[in-house]
Amino acid sequence: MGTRPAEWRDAAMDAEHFDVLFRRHYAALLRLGVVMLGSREAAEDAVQDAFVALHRHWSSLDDPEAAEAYLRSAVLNRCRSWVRRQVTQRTPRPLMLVHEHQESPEDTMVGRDEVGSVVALMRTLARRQREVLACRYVLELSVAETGRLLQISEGSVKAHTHRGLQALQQRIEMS
Amino acid sequence: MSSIEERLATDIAAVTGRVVVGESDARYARDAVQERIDSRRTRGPRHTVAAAAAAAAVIPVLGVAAFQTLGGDDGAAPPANPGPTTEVDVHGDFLVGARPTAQLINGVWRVDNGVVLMLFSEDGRMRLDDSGMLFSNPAVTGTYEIDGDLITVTMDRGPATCTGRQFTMRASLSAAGEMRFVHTQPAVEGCSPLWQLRGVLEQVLPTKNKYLSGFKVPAKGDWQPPVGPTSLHGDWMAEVTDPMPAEDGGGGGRVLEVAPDGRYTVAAGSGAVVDRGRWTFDSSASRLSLSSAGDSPTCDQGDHLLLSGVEQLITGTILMRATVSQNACGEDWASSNEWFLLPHEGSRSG
Repeated sequence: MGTRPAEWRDAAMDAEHFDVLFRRHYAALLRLGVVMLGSREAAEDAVQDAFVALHRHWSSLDDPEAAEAYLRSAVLNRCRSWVRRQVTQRTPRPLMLVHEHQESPEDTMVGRDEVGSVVALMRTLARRQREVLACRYVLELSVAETGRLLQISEGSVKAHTHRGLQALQQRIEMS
Repeated sequence: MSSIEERLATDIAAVTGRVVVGESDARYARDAVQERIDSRRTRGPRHTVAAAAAAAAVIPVLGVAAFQTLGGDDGAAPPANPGPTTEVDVHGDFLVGARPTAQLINGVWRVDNGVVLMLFSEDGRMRLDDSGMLFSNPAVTGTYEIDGDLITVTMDRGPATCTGRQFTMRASLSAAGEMRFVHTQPAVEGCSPLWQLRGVLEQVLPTKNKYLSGFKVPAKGDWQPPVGPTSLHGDWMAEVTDPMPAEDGGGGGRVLEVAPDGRYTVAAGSGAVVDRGRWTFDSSASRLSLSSAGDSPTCDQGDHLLLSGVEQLITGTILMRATVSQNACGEDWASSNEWFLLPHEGSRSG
């Protein structure tokens, strides 16, 4: 458990500081959201919501450097929630994610060899696989950084990466 | 880099390269975020009214006779008795089951597929949280009143501008351990993390919800030691191994809250605290130590509960198991050794 320095604990989330965070991270988070959701509008909503959540939970962060990780995690969470909301029929399964694959409008228009076709297939992977691949290849995080962000072991990161790429390869061959 | 990696990386670059964020895009987005942050101070009343209108549960539908006379071409006077109006409850099909009472809603609830936990006490108090700190530092506390199917919550703790504000929801107990709600007056934005217009609540304590009570922690899987103390934070529900008989109303269950500030809380029954104290985690031994405080309701100060060999498994839900190597307090609830995380904001399964 970290202890936050007094000046950090007492610091309010002032507008200037927030502006800096926003300008530093917004575009990259938006791109992450677009890859995960296939929709710029949905991605904008998810990212803006993540910043609002950061503002609300600012006092609970251990240090300023945690803001970036918080935002990435919040965006991934909201992408997950957005996918779930697109499912029209489901069997309630508490605590477990239900069937998530839902084609975005953009996906249905992407041909096999067109730009975005591999990314569209990535969205059909199991949740953990696509999140690990997003961390590794969109955010370009290392194995260790991915593990810390998703709170899984480095071994799991490697395993999900391997299985995810394998599944992606199979989908490309089948499509 | 393998060929599939290269293809993925190239395609990602192509997709993200199309996502252009110009100065005006950034400014527009920043303004949108600021408007939402500021809405609790400036937009509150209008937002509440607008939201209430949008969430109107009743749509008046004019009777046929009255409809025929309105704006009619024949210029005839409207009848003295235009006929009864028929009100349509757009949420009627959703809000099925018994009306809420203090006894029926008493306990801890979670939003189905969400991150919010709620605790309703029979004394009229309630609390609400989305950060895994329902007992130690909830986002909102307040009082509630029930009138028919309406539950009105008046907040007395939360963001400074929210004290005294209310939100109202219609509710129904649609099944054992399941409550459905529809906001008729949502909280002013920023005052409550419960933002959905409507949703389903699952009863965590007492554990009457069939999905939660039937949830089993799998023995097999990629179980790993926690990556650190922060991965222990949150509200953990123990796998229910000793449910109360159905003829007694069902239930049972317990929740262990591990808070970031070093405090822990154990709740059982309908959300009553049965133990509280301080926790520490020895990463090298993967050992979680709970030491009861002087104000623990059931244990003596300094009573230790040691959980050794702590492991976690992430399957879409975060699971945890350990071996109880010391249980000085000796209470039944301390024998739990398998839990699943109730998702909260920021948790991997939230």
